[in-house]
Amino acid sequence: MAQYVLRRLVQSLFVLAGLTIVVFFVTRQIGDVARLMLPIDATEQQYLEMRQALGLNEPLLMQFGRYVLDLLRGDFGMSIWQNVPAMDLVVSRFPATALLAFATLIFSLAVALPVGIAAALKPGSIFDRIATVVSIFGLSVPTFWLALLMITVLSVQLGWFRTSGYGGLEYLVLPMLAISAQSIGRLAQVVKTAMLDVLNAQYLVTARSKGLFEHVILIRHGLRNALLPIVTIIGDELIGLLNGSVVIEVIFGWPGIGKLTIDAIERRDFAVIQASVLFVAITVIVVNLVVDLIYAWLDPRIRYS
Amino acid sequence: MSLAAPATTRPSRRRISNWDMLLHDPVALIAVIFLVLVSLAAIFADQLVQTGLLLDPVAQNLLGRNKPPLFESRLGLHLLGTDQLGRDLLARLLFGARISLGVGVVTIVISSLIGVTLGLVAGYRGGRVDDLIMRLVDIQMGFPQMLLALIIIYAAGPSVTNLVLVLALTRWMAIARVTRATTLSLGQTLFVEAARSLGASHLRIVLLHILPNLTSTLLILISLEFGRVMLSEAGLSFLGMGIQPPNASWGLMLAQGRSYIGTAWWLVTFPGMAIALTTLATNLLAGWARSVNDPVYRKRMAARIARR
Repeated sequence: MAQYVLRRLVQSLFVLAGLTIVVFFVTRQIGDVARLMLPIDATEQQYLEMRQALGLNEPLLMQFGRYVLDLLRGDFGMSIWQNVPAMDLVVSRFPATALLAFATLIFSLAVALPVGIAAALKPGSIFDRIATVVSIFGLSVPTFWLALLMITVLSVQLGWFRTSGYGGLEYLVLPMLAISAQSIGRLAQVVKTAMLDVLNAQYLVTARSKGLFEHVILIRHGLRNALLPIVTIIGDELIGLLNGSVVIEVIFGWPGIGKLTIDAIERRDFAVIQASVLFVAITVIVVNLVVDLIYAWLDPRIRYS
Repeated sequence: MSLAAPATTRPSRRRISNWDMLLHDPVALIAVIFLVLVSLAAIFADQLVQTGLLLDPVAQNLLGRNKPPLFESRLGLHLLGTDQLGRDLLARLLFGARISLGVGVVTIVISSLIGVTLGLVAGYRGGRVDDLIMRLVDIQMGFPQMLLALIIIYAAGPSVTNLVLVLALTRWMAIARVTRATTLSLGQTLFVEAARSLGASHLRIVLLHILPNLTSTLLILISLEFGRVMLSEAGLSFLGMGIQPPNASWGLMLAQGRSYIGTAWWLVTFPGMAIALTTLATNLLAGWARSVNDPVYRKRMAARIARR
């Protein structure tokens, strides 16, 4: 097992290396930060001095080499605009993204699990059909459109929630609901399919013939075995959510990683862009690994080697 | 009279075509009709304008700005109202469909070509090549797609071509994975072994024996992906990193209408509905295609159709 984890981590290093290269060279094409930082009437002399000060005059490969050496020492560079370590900035924005992600995930599961199970118990029923169409509809609606409609109706006209910002529940509910539509749609379908597969299995017939209570059969024998695919999709959902719903964070002024990255791109704040992409990639790797370990714990037949 | 008997005694044995299945599934049928109508309207939008059925999408009328649906201006009747420059919203939606659907179709074609080719090669050749391709898939799967797409588009400059390329290059992995997995199992089948022992070339086996058996699986995946690409395009355009004015896509129209959301709801509502309904239709079709490929469901449908 330890060996498996180790191999996965080594593999992840390739992901991070590839990402570092791609992001470094692509961000250098975004634009000239020195021009952007100086007033319009700055002289050519000032411009050249600024480039020198920011270390932009060296050949690109030299800059890259220096960047990689810094990375190996755990230094992700400084934010050019805010003059603080770029990674500190990213880490300080992570709680907002994580809060939104976990709130959305929990809410979506609270809706999707019962709906999916109920639909699987009576396949082809009216409830099943309505649940299917509604969940496909949830998958198809553009998140940001839903967000705009909800702001108009629930915030502006009814005044129930704040239109944007970060703080208590009155700020959290709308962005959470907007993103949940997609998550609920995907989760409900996977839960239903997974439960359907399990309900036809032999061991449920055995459990029933032993005369167990229906709810014991469903939860202990049914849900537990349906958990594998459900855990996979939960992992995928969490990764998607931690990736930062860029559009939602922009619309709601939510101070998460997505908003930070967009702002950094607009200001050509190279170090921050690189740090946030690497940070998100690392969270993706961690979540994937945890999902695989939960897998092995849930199903003793799975043994990694 | 007795001659007719064999045909009716075993109706459920009769093979039913996909066409029959479609005609007997109202939801899928509506989805197909919707997609066909939208595509036709997008393709023939110019002709619709020429014949006067549709207003000119670029004709401005500053006296008739942000007017609600069914407003009648000197230009004609605005069925869905007018936008911030007094242009007809319905006309702009149909011309926007060209870009939104076009970007989706071209992106899917490119990403499928990449994904299917790499998946076939990996699954059929196996060994080192397989390892290499699948490692590439794993690495790219680990990238934060949306952020990366944003950065690349910002660097390359927002244009239709760049948008298509970025979307295609970030969406081929799922297709490659599925293709490889199916190719692997098809490679073990008897008919491939038979073809091989008859001396068929690798290319012939892959193109004539494996690829045709992949189509149904791929069609399901591709129609799901099409919906996702549409949503991504809309999201990027909404952020100002996709389609640029004077071109119009549904996502961009949404972004432009956002400032007027309190006073002109139709500017945000209708483009959003266009995106949602089109994506919904492709997702419903994917669901239908999946059930059609399910032999149990097929048999049940055949029995039900025969009973009528």
